[in-house]
Amino acid sequence: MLAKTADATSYVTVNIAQDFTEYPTGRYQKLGRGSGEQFRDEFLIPSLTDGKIVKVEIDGTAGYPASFLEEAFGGLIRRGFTKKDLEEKLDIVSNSPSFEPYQMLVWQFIDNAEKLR
Amino acid sequence: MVMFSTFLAALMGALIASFAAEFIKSFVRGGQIVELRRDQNLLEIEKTIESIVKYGEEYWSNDAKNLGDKDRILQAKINANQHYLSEVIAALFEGETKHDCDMQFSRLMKSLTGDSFSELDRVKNFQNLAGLYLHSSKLRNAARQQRSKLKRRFLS
Repeated sequence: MLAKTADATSYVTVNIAQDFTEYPTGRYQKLGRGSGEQFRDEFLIPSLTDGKIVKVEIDGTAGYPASFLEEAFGGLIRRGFTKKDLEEKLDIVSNSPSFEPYQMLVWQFIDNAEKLR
Repeated sequence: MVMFSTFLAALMGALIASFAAEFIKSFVRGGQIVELRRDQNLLEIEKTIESIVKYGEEYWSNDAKNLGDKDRILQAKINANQHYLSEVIAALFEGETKHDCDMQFSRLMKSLTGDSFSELDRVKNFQNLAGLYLHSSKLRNAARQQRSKLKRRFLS
């Protein structure tokens, strides 16, 4: 799911391993640093709300619990974004084959959350 | 003169035959090494699935508060094995064969680390357990089937 064309200034790149945590935990912030909720609220929502295209680089972590991905990305739908918004503004990037399943899951969770709206 | 040229031809023939034999042996050995590595990766996938089922079973059949510190330890083991499994799948497969295994792997992930995974107030969930058993078996089966379809190296 690639973002539509835009000039370079409207892109924001977030590398989860370098900018957030190498060890994503679960859903909620009450567990401490590294939750899906924290990532969504601190990194995704501010940039998406500003109208930027957010490129999320997912390589380099010790993997992702499905609950982290669901809360971080499926949770965007619950926070008012639509699947169409995210298809245009969210770019999930991986260069490593072992991270491809996580890429797939992100869009499955967005799709599922959209169906439950 | 004739004897010398015959001798030279015989020597060249012997050298070429010896070189060809070594070349073929090395070619076959290379193919055998590739197939051995593939078999080892498949074995590693199966062992890791077994570990995941063992840890996931203990995790989802108990409330977090009943496990105490063990809850965190199991989480760490589950996370590590889940990602390691993805890496071994990627080492063995590519393209369509990998996609098939990735689909099964992602279904396994949802049962294993979805829902209330890592929540402090997590309660036991036998539906996740059912999903874990089902999707781990399907992944194991998919990996075996895709491995058998991998084109074997010539003369391996």
